[in-house]
Amino acid sequence: MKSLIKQLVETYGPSGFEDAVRELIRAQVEPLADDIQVDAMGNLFALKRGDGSGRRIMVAAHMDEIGLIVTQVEDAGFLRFSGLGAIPPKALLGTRVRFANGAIGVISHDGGAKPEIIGRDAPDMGRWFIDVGAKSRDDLTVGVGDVAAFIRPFDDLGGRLLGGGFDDRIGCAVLIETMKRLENSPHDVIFTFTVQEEVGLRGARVAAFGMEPEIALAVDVAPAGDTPHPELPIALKLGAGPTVKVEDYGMISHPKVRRALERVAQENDIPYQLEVLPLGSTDAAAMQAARSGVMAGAISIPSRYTHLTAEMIDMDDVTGAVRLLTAYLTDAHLTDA
Amino acid sequence: MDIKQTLAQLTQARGPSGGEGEAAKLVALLMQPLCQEVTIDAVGNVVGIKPGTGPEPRPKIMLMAHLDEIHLTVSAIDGAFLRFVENGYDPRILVGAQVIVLGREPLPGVIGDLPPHIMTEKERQRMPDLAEMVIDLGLEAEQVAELVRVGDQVVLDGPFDELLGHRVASKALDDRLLVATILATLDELQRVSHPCDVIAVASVQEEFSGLGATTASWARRPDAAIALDVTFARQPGVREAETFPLGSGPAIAMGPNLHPHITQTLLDMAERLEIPHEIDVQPARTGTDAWGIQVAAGGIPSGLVSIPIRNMHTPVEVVDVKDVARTARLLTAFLAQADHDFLDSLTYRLPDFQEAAP
Amino acid sequence: MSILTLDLLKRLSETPGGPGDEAAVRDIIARVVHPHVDELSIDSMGNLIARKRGTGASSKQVALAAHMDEVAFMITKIDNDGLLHVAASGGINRRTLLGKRVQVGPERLPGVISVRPPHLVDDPEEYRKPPKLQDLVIDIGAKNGDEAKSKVKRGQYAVFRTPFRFLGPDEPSGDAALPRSGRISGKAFDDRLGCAALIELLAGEPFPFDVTGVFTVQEEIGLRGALAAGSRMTPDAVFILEGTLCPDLPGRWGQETTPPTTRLGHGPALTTADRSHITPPRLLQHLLRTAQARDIPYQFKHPNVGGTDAAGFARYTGAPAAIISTPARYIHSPIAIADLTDFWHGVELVRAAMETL
Repeated sequence: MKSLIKQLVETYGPSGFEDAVRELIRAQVEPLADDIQVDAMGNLFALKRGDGSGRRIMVAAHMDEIGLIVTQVEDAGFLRFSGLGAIPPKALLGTRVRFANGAIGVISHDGGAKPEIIGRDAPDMGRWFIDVGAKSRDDLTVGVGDVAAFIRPFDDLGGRLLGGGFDDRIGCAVLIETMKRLENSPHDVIFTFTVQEEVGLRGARVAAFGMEPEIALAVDVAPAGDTPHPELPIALKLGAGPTVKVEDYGMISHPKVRRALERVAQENDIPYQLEVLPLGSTDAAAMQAARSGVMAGAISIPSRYTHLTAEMIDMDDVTGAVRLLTAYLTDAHLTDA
Repeated sequence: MDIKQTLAQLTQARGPSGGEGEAAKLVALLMQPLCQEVTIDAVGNVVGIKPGTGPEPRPKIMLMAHLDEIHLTVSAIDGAFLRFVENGYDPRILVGAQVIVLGREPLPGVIGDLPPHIMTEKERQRMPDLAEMVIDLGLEAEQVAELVRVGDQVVLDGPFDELLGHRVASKALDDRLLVATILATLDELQRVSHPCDVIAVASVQEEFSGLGATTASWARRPDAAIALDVTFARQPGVREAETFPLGSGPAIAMGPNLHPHITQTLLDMAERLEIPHEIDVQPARTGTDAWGIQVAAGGIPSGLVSIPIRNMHTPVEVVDVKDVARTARLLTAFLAQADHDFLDSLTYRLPDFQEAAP
Repeated sequence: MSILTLDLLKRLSETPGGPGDEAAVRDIIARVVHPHVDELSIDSMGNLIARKRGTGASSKQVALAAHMDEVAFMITKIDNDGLLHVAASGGINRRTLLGKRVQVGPERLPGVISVRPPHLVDDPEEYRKPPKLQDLVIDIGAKNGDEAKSKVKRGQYAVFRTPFRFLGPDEPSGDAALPRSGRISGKAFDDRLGCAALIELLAGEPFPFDVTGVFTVQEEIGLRGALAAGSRMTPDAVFILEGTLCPDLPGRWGQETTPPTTRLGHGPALTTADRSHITPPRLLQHLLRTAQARDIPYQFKHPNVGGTDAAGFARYTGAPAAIISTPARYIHSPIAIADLTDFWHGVELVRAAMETL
């Protein structure tokens, strides 16, 4: 599984430009699925049919990562940019980025400037720039509208992994691995690889509106609270198992979904953690609100340093998530009282 | 129907956003004798249908008030104390507050504060951060571990108090006051005939994500809807332009979120029936279920009627209960005239192309 | 044969139409497009929907949209002195409000936004901050509250009162065809210019496929008309016609600045991404190739700011949507300036892109 994860996290795919990630995933899931579809937005659906006695379940992970879109070009060849998704300013200074055409650059800011937040909640801050080494504007191979993704090497630390983009390529890997293991499920399961989650859950909203599932689960990362002096009172720890989401900023899990996940985890001896977050949201929040409503929940992989260029996750949590998801999708009593 | 008694029951039921179960069951029970059919849907909305008179298809008018109250959620257990998150309301009211933790059983708790004697000058001059607050159940750590888990929800404790005159104070007048109003309307409709099917909805999660409003709209596809919520009453320190005197009757909203003819019909009716009322100018988003309803399912003409309360989103919300009966009278009259001609009057007309432009 | 004239553009610009109050603008547009389309209707939100049959060469479904509403004020209170207090409907630039002219209510009564004379302002800090909307009043000249209340009502709208002007050179007559070049000034270019473009496209020759033109309501307060319409439509492509920002001013005296991305006279502005929508790369490429093949100048809108009806149409069904805008300096203020060459190149680009879709 680790080599699949490495491939996934090293593929370029910022919000709106997920083609390469989708191709990679499609090659993996096509042999495993009864049906493959791509919708108008670029969401990838891989359907595994059940025996007809179960529910219609959408399981989603998002393919996109945060990116930087070039907004202005200086005559001297420096590129001003804005964030697609929530970019922590801590992630920027000295970080390497690459564009779709392979151009590579580094990020810095105007001398004397105080780095400020850029991203969805603030207009673009002209104090930052990307330097691709161009001698002048005429030397550039990229321009306004082009999108850069962070360069983040992948390192296998043994029990833990260090790399960028686990949000949410690890979710994609969990889905693929679950597809490989899923057998004898009563349910029709639509494994959904969504686009544009980071800029507002846009793909998932369209996916659920179009596919009309009865139950929806998102698989994403959640920030762990187990580093020194954590800022927020979050009880999640690396290695204590995948989480069963109770509540985050965008969604309260449907009690039936949450209870079924807990029951299945207990019955199968899978350690898990209950997740309550004061911030953040996942595709599940969008899927929940589709049409007349969908019963929704989420499983998360605890992760340190989210949205920075080196995130850390624990493989026990990942394999636990695969086991939990597989067991949930095989269970025939999901919506019993 | 005894409005005060119903209101006391409704406000004291526990129904945090996403965990409305107890409150939902109570509302379903109270709706039973007044509706032909009462259901609780997949996301938890309570829906009561009272069919109108006359042949099908009849106009379908939805009344919606939200069931949920604001809440906290336990995010970590810190020894004998509980850490928590809250979602977007005034944290100042939490300091010194009494709460109910919905653990294995409902548990009374307190969010306390440092004694002033040992505070630094700086601390005295600022309110505590959420990250500094804890819920104290007065129990030992082992007992807490038995009774409470991460993810348990917490509601504010605010008993129902009768003040002078017709005024009462309680938690969760937002929006159980308007759930009571819907029940009072359904009660009146037992004696008043109406051409439309009334779809009465107590919606979930208005205080959180507005989930109930959109999902109920898509599920029921009414021809028109009136959302019911609380609004701001005059009290010291608030602007006159944004508030209404307590007990001044239903505030009828006008603006882009509301269909102009629904607004005008409500205003005309209030005038005709001599029901005290106010005009509530809403230039953009109303911050109520009406926002989600209006663009759901291809677009549903919407109205918004609100009752003013003081101290919104605290355990001591205050209202003049006469406004409940006034609002119920207004809604009853509205529903009694909501026939096909009324629906027709909601459609926008193209200009008469034969006539020259003004 | 164009049906646009300076007179029509003037009427579109000057007519009041805040979010939720678009009826007068909608009536003008309905009358103008009626002879040129096969069906015209108004939906439950107030969107004006025109259907124009195609030649039958293609079975695609394409939509075009422009919004009818402009940023506006709503009267919240009429005080005892007869002055009107207001709230904003849509994002008005508060820095541009003091001492401006407005028109109030359906009678379009003239009013002004009061300013305290500098002689009477004690606190120098007050000069440094934009006024809060709650601190502004509109004066319609009433002697007292009763007189004001006899003329206007709470809940009525007020919009800027700005005469539409052709800035030259050589002002043509009003009913002549709209000039192909020259600059114009007026209010509500966002998005009456888009409405004008949509009118022109609907009034022209049929396209290879059926086209639905939607003149939407309430875009400025959250893409409301587009959201309602979007869940009912599944077009293969949507083109949004907008008036967009153009920040091509010189910076602070003596300081060099980064060149602006969008400049007046450099062509229609194409959106790569804004805060609410990312244009699908294939659709954007189609527009770029079309422009290059026909020598139509174009530029990019400053990425990742603002939002348009594209997000409303795409929200439920993911319909691929592109946004083509006429740049206008000073949008969301009492007076904007646009270049007619940008406008006409935009119309030309959209028509060409649709014909080769």
